[in-house]
Amino acid sequence: MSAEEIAGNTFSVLPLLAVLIPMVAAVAVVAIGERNEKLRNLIAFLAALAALGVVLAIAIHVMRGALLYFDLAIMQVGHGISVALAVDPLAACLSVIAAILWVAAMAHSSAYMGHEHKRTRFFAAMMVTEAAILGMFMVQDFLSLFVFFEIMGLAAYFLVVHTETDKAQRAATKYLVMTIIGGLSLLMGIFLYLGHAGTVGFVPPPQSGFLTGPLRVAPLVCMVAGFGVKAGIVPLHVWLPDAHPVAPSPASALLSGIMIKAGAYGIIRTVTSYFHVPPPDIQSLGLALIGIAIVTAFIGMVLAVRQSDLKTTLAYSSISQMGFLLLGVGCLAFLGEGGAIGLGAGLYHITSHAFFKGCLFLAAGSILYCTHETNIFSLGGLWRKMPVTTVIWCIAVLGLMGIPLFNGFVSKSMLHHAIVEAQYLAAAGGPHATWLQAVEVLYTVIAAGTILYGLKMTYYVFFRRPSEEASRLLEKVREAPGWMLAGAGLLAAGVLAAGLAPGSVLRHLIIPAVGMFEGLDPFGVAHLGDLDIYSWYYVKDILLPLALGAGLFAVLTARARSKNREATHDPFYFGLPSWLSVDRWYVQGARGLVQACFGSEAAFSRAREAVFGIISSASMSLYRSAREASAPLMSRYANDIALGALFIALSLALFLILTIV
Amino acid sequence: MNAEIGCMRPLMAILLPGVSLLAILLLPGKHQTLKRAVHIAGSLGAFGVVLSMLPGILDGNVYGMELIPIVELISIHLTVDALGFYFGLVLTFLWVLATVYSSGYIKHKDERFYGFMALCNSFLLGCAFSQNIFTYFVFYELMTLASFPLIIHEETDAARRAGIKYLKYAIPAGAVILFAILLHFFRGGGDLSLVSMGTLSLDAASRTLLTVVFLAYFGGFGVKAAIVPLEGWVPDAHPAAPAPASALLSGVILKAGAFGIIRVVVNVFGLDLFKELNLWIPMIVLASITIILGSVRALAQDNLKRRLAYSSVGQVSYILLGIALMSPLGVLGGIMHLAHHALMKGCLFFCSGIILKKTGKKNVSEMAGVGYSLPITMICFSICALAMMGTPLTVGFISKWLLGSGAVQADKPALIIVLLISALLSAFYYLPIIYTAFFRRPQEDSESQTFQFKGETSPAMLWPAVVLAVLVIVVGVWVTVPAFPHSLASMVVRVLFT
Repeated sequence: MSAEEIAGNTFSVLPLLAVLIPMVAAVAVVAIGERNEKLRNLIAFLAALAALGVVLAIAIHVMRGALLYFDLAIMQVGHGISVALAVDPLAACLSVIAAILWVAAMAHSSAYMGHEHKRTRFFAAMMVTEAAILGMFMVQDFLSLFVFFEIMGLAAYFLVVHTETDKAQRAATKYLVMTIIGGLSLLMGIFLYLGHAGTVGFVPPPQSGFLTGPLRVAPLVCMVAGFGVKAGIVPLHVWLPDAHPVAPSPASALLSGIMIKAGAYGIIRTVTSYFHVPPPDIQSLGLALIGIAIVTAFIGMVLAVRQSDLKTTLAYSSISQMGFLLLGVGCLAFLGEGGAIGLGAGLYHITSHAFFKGCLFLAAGSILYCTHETNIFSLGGLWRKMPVTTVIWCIAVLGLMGIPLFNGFVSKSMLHHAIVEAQYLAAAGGPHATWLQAVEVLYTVIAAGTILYGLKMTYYVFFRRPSEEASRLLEKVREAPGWMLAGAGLLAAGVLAAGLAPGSVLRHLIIPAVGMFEGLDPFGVAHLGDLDIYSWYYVKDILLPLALGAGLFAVLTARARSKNREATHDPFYFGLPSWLSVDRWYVQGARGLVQACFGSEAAFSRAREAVFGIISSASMSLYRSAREASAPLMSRYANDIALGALFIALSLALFLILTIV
Repeated sequence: MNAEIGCMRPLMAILLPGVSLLAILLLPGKHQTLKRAVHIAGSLGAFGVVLSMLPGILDGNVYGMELIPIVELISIHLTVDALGFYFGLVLTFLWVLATVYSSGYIKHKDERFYGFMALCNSFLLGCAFSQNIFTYFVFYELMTLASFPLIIHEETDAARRAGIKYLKYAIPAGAVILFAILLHFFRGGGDLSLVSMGTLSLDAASRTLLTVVFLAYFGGFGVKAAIVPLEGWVPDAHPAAPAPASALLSGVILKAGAFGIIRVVVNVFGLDLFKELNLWIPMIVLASITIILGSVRALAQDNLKRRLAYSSVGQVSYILLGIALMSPLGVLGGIMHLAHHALMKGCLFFCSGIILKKTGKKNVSEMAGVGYSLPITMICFSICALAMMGTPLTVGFISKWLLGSGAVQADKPALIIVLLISALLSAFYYLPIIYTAFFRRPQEDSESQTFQFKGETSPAMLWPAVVLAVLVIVVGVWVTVPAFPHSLASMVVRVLFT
């Protein structure tokens, strides 16, 4: 977006600084390299800290109502279209979360990376990813967003592939392919949006007649699909459960904690941009989004329950929680101008999930670092060996399960509220009401399932008495190093703070971000601040899932214990038919496509050779027979005569054409 | 259009490489270094002279001079307008880098190679600076002949076959262009000049005749521009030629065909007539087919240079697609892609030559670990490969964006799908190269030789690749700097659409 379009707001170098600091740190990290590891790690950590400081300064400005911008004036690819940084409250809200997560992850990784290789590449990639993600949040148009989004996607490849094991390489390749396809879908959507709205800004002028009929929603669908790949929406999630666990744990924390939120952020921006030019069917679109979201949440939950690897469970859990987040966005679209509660719930869940999932991955990293093991059933009794990690883990997992006093409860209550409001709206207007009731039932089931796998991880890793084999393995385990505890502890503190004081988070972070959308009813926005989260109205809703989840957990573990006391098999495991795997379909489809490419290549070459062969052999035989026929007459001059005849024939033909046409 | 300012500089630019050719021929055999220096100096001189016209061109001036009047209305006449200047600047710039590169690359019969390179440079500049289509044709044919020795330089059987195949395609193509010119001259109104926005009109000739003229021009120039099904010589000529020649082939010689088509569409027919006769339909269809098919066929190649050659087949049609869109952004994108692709593909071929020279590896499947033995080369290669996929912050993204928004502007959003499929396929054939080079370990037996860091190649070969890779990013980020493709291409577009 060009400078004149965002004039009237405050020019500031702070957004530039926020992007530049990690970039410069990345250069410094590469320059120092392996020569001075301590200094290199310190620089990365300090850069993350400095970026947090800058982002906080930006947030303080922005929450007061000033939009900060810095026009980079690069990549001017059209009139008034160039890459520019601009921060509004929503951007500031997400940037703050990202910057906090980065500080925690950098603290954690300075200890964690001790047992990894190619550390310089890792730290540089972390810094570039931070710069890209902060840049991606701090924009006001889809071109700039796309540019930073793609850089982030490419830089994160190095985080996923880091260990360079076969598994990591496969996961990273899958990640990259999905990222590229998603990026192209997004670009397609942006082009259509440009044609539709005449601008790539988030605030488009009235719509043109560019796309008509059912195609009107094409830009929206392309963009949501493009962002959805990053956000891990089912059925575009297949890369996520492979990529998040194979990355080094601090990187997993960032991938799950904030990078998938980048996708969600894009979806929020897309949906809210349409408030200015609402397609008439935005409500059914909202309903579709709610459907996709609840299916994503459900499938993520089901698959998380049956995993026995700690980090894989967390990765599926991320998919499930992203479903919750999108549920909020879907409610926003469905409710239209009364959708403040949906957006507020979605944003609150972004902060909640960022903190507790980041914290869980960092704690899982500490466990991996100390025990070299992430299989839930090979661990046990860690609370004696790693008490601090246990406390941190428990705080985060209670947030995940949505227990009162922890942040997950707040956002899940708000989400539930949003669904109920959608039901009210639908009840007035027809057949959607039954669907939304089904959504609410599923929502309860998913909450119960979340409690189930939360308890499963916690019990088996920390509290169950370990088997003989496991206790031998775990004999020498000590508490994790201080840097790791500091990183995870910072996030656990965030989980607690957002759970204990939801009002101030809402007032200082969420309401300004929600309130900036002019399409939303201001009353609904103001009402967000009055929500009494710890009233019986909200707390009663957690009781049923809690009873269900905990009850099921008790039954399953008791059954497993009665059968075989020292069992290392997973009592929660259940098989699924292979045709259900979307991943398998994709792989087969991709194989088919490549084979089709090779096949058509070969067929084309053959056909081409055949045609050219016929032409050349025909002309050769013609030439030969002409030569043989004339041989007795003028064998010596045959070539020259043939050429001369050809020339005369061509001239005649040319003459004829010239006179006729 | 401003009146032409009489000026010797176009002629000087064309003659300078010729002078260096004379010096190379006349100098005694032992002065190898001096010959290389003269060769580089000749191309540098041409680049300098072209560059000296930049301020005037940006002011909207047109330079030119009539050289040889042959008969009334037909003459060898040079003129430099914005479009011609743009092509001239791109080609002389790439030529400077290619001469530097070839001084490190060519070890065998280097005088012959240098000589024909200098000749080719002159003739191609003549194409760029042609005032009329007849002049264009003369230089174009001379350039075709002068580039033949560059292709067969290695003198292997494959190279000879590829060279003959090149001539088999190029000579009939020249005849077809000549046919088009004759038709154009005798039946189309007699004005062959390329200075106004359309010399043909429906007053002077029938629709059929004009369509035939266009198709003949399109088919004739289409052989060089590698339009399917006329692209057969491209994938053979590129691997057979030495790397600097391949870089020039893909970088500018293929573009001479595309440039001819641009001239025909813009200056001979003019966009109004072009639209009126629905000539854009065959052009868009063929360009789209070429883009997709070129990428699909690139995917199936294991030989690196062959893969790059098929990639060029697809990419040159981006230019034609942009022109055929007939929207300001589309034409801008098409014209800019001419320079963007020259930067990217030039660098890729330079890098493939370095890999061939240093490791002897031709095939992608053998390149495991090359990224460790040639880090700088492979980083340059990766930058340009990512640019070919249209990654942001590179010139490839600018092309893709402009063509995409051009398609939107022309109200043909379905064509974006062609661009995006091509981008996806190019990811599928470029990323495995980068991946193999950096993440695959070489085979056990060869580990001792390839895996250790042997140092990069000679600076004469490395620097041209580095310069191009840096430019791919710089031009892709600071798009609107004067003298970068955007400034010149938008001058052309401004004239076209006002």
